Amino acid sequence: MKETWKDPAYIRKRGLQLTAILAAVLLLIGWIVSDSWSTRGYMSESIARSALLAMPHDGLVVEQGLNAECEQLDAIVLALTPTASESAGSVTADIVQKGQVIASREADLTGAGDELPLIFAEQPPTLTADTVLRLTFHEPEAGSPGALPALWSGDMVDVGKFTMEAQGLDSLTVDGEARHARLCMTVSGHSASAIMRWYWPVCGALVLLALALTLRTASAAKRQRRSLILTLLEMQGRYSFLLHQLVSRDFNTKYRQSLLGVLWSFLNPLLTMSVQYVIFSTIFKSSIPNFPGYLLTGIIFFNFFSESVNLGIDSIVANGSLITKVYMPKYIYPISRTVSSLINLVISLVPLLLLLLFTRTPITKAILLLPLAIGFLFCFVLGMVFILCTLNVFFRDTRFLWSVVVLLWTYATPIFYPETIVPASLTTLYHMNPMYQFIYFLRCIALDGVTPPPITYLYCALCSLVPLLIGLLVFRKNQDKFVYHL
Amino acid sequence: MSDIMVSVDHVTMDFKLDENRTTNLKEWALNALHGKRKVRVFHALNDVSFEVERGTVMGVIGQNGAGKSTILKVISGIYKPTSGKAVVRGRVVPMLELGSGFDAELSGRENIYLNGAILGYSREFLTEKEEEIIAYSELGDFINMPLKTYSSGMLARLAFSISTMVQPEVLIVDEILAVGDENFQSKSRARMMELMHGGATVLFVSHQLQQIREMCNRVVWLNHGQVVECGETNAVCDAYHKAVMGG
Repeated sequence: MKETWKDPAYIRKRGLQLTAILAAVLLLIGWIVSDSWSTRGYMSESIARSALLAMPHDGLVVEQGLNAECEQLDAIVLALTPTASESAGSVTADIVQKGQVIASREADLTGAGDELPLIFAEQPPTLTADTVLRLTFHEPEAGSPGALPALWSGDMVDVGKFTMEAQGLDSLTVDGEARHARLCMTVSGHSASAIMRWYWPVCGALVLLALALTLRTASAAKRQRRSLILTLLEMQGRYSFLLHQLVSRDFNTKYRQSLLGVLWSFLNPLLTMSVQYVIFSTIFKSSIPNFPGYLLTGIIFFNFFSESVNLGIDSIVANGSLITKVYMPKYIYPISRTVSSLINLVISLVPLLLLLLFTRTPITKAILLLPLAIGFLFCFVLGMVFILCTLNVFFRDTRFLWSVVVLLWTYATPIFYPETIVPASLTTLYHMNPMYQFIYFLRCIALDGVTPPPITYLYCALCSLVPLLIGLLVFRKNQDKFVYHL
Repeated sequence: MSDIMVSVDHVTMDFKLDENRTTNLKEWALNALHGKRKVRVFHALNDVSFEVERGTVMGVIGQNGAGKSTILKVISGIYKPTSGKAVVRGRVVPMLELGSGFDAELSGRENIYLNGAILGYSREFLTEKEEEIIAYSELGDFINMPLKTYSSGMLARLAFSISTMVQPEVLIVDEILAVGDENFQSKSRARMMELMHGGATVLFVSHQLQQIREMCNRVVWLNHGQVVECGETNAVCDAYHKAVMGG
C-alpha cells in the first residue's frame, strides 16, 4: 500500500486544506454572529415605587443622574401616576452633560397612563459618568381638562422575590433640592461588546497556529520523527477505507428486508412527532410557539443520542469475535457505530427543513450554524459511547442500567414540554444537562433564526469536548484489557 | 534472503484467572465486599524466544493448552505480552476462522470489501482483485447472494480466497486448511505453496503432523508455554511424535 501520509508535500497540502476550512468556518461564524454580538443590550434594574415625588406644578424641574452602565442610551421609561382623572400637559426631557444639553425629547402627557416612554434610539446619546436626565414640566393650557401626573420615586430595588437598597441615592434633585431617593424609571441602552472585539484576533491566532502546526508536522515527517498529528494522519490513511466499509455495512444492513428502507430514517422522527403532538398539544401547545417544530428539533437530536449510545454500547462486545482475531485500533468500532447514526441524523434533517418551510418559519443565515450544532452533539455522543462501551466490556450490566438512565434523561430534557415548567430552584442543575444545551442551540438557529448567546457556545463546547476527552482517555487506558473479557 | 521477519524475544504472557471472571456488577461488588480478589495467574507463555526468517514456513506444534494460539495472537498484536516483545516486520494478515469479519446480511461481493478492509487491503487493490477472488472461490452466481445462504464450505472458500489473494508479508494460519471439498483442499494447499515460494513468511498451527511435515521447513514445539525444541521440521516432529506417543 502506498504510504502517502508520510510524504511532507502531502502533509503540507492537507494542512493547508484544513487551515483553509478552519478559516472559512470561523469567517462564517463571525459573519453570522457579528450582528447580534457586536452590541450588548442593557436594561437598568427597576426601583420599587414607594412614594410620589412631589405635587407637580408648572416649571417643576427634576434632575436624576444616570449611571453610565451602558455606552449608548436607547430609551427611558418613566413611572407616572395621574393626579386628576386624566393626565395632561407636557414634559421636556433633556440629557445634560457638563451643563450642555446633548439630547432632548418633548413628550405630550395627555392621556398618559402609568408609564411614559422616552425614545432616544434614533440618535442614541453617549452616556458618561456625569450625565443627568433633566425633566421640566409644563402645565396644560388653562381651561383644558386634566392635570400634570406625578412621578414615582423609591429607594429599594426589586430583585425577584425580595428587595434591596438601591445604589446612587444621592443624585436626585427636585427644584434644586436634593432627595435621598431615585426616580422610578428603567433605562435601556447598549454597549459595544468585547466579544466581537476579541473574535477576529483570536481567529487570526488560531489560523496562524494551524499553519505553524502544518509546517512543524511536515518537517517532522521529513526528519522521520514521531508526532501526534503524524500518527493521526497515518491512522486516517490506513483505516479510512475500513471505517467506510464498517459504516456502509451498518447502514446497508439496517433496513435490509424492510419495504420502505431508508425512508424510515425520514419517517421515524415525523411519526414520533405526530404522536407526541397529538398527546401533548392540548397541554403545552399554547405556551410554545411552533409546537411541531419544537417537538421535531428535540426529537431528532435526542434520537441521535439515544440511538448511537444504544447501539454503540455493544460495539466492542458485539465485535468480540473480530477483536480476538485481527489487530486493528479498537477505536474504530465505536467510531463507525456513531458515524452510522450520524448519517441517520443528517437524513432526518430533511423532514425538519420541510416542516420549517411548511410552517412558514423564517429561515435565516443562522441555519448555516447547523453543522456546528451537529458537531458539538457528535463529539458529546462519541465521548459517551467510548465511556459506556468500555464499561460494558467489564460489566455487562451497563447496557441494562443504561436503558433506565436514558429514560430519565428523556424526561430531564425539554423535548415535548416547555422548559418553563421546571422549578426555578432546579434550573442550574437542569441547564447542566448537555442535551439541553445542544437542543437549545438547535432551536435558536432553526426556530428563532438567531444565533444563541455567546455563553451557549461556551457551554456547548465544554459539554462536547470534556466528555469526548474523558471517553478517549478511559477507552485508551482499558483497550488492551478488552480482549480478556470478550 | 535471510532477514528476520518475526522475532519473538523472551515473551511471557500471564493470564489473570480471576477465580470467577467478573462480568457483572453483583459479583464484582460481592467479591469486593468479601475481600476475595485472589488472582490466580496462569502462565500461557513463559519466556518464549524464536525467530522466523523471510520465506520460512514455520510450524507451531504442541498439545492442547501449550500456548500455540496464544503465541500467534501475541505476534499479530491482539495480546500485549506481559513481558518481552514480539516484533514483526511488514504487515501481518491473519487467516480468519469461518465467518468472523463477515456479515451474514451482506452479499458475498460486499463481504469481499468488508473483509478485505478488515485485513487491511486498500480499495484500489480490492477493486482490482475482486473478479480474481470470486473466480478463485468458485462461488459463481452465489457471490451476489447474502452470506447467510452460504454453506460453511462456501464461507471457508471465500475467506481463504480473500486472505491469500494478497501477497502477505506475514501470514498467520490457525488450523483452517481442512475445509472445503477434496478439490478445494488440494487447491488451497497449492495456493499456500505458491505463497511460500513467493517469499511470504507463514506461521502455521496444526495438530496434523502429516500436514506440518509436508508444508513447513522449520518447526517450533511448545509445551506448557515453553519452547521445547525449535529447528528443522523432521527432527522436531520426530521428537514430538516420540514424546507424545511414547510417553
